[in-house]
Amino acid sequence: MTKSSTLAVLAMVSMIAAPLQAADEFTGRTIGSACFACHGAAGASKSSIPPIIIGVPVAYIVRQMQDFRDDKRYSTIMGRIARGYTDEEIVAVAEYISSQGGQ
Amino acid sequence: MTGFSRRRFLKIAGLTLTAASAGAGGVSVAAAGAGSARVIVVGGGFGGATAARYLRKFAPDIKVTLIEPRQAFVTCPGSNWVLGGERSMEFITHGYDNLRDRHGVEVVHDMVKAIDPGARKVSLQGGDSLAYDRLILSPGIDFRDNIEGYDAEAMQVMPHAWQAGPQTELLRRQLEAMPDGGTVIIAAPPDPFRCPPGPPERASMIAHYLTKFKPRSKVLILDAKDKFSKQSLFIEGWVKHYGYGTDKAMIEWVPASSDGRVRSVDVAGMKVATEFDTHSGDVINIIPAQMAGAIAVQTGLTDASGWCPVDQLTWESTLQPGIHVIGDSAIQSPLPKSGYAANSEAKVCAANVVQLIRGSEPVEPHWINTCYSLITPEHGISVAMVYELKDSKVAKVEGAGGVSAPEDPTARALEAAYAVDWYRNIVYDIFG
Repeated sequence: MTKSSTLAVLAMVSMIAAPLQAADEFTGRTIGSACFACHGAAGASKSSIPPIIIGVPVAYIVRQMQDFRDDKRYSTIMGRIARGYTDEEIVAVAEYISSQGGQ
Repeated sequence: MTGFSRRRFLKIAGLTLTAASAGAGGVSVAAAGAGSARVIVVGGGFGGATAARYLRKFAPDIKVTLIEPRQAFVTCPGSNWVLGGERSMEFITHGYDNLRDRHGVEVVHDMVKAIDPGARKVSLQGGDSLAYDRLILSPGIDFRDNIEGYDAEAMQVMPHAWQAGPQTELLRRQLEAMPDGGTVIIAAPPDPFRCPPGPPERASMIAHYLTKFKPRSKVLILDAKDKFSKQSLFIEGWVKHYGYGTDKAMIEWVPASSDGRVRSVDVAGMKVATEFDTHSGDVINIIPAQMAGAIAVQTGLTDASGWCPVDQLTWESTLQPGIHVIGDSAIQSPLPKSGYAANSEAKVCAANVVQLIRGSEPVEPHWINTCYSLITPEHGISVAMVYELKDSKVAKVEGAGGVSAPEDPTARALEAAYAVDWYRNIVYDIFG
């Protein structure tokens, strides 16, 4: 993902009051790795639910995470998880997961 | 997290330097950055097997050796489903072939005899001695001697089934052999212990089996605690499916404050004793109090609590430099002693072991835990939490996590499916 598209995604993100902090270069990988316990290695889920997230476009992942977080989309558990991350972390993890090409 | 990076970096750099200068035992830590580093992982469960795989994923130039005596790992998660007759032992048994063949982990099936933290060497029962730059230890739990008469022999009559495998099969056979109208006793342990929702899920799954095949039977939980994980969700499910709280209840729970704590067992008489009472059972499952695995104690990694204190950024022992402890043995609170937490800790630990070897700044950690439990095969519940590092300690992220929403039948059905899907995916993430 290029810098300009990152900025585009960030601009799309509903801004919260606190200014965004610079993400560690590993933020997406660290958070994303924790996702794989439910979504399977590299997000290539072996089940219909939780879904495969490998290679899903960044903007879509960001939008779903925000909708889960803000209770705009029904979930059993994703809302509880999504509320643990800032907008910037959501973008970082979406970029990482989207870029996963294998294990 | 402001100010995190610089301060932590200096501290870690200091540790690395200390370790390097202490490497007089012939192991050169300084040389490790050059791509010849070797990390030994001891214990091939949720923590260790994940660490081995993710070390290779994050740093393909690092040589990773996993030491695990068993040819295959039987998971505790899912073992209650086996007891309930819903899943087979094969479903919860996983080999190490993929770790070796697909992920380049050297897998050594041997038992660790001793670890020498000064010389950075591991000696094996088989006679070999292996040098490491860093060691990750994930030995799981061992049992404390808190119940009089509950020794190795008693475990063959009153299984704990808290380390899955032959003990799970033994308890399952006993349930199958029990006559209708029998009583199953589960002695639940004091905190902290592996898998906090495990005892009530076990009671649920056994009750599910009994409802189908031995409906006049009963499950009696004698607890060393006054509350348990996901309590209101379990009780909601027990009321719905197992008549909880009525005179026809299939599950009865006796908290510590009502004399629930089991103090001794009478193996020949198939009885357990609390302070004031004696209970007879047809099947008796004793889950003793727990502590870090024996190898952790032997290596001087435990403190007075019986568990291993660690720097929760890198999971390096605060007692023995160069050794990282993850999973149930580590002092990991507020992360629970769960398979999911061990998997999450392993990834953070692997990332930061790589950083330490490279002499780089540690990665800022993030962890997740999710624990699903089945009350029936169609009724699932969960607890989840997201964690961050705050003031050098694992902390819950405010506003995140929690238990399944109240009064949501759709969620109960979905989470029953998610429980099994979670299981499939986490074992794929580790052993796939």
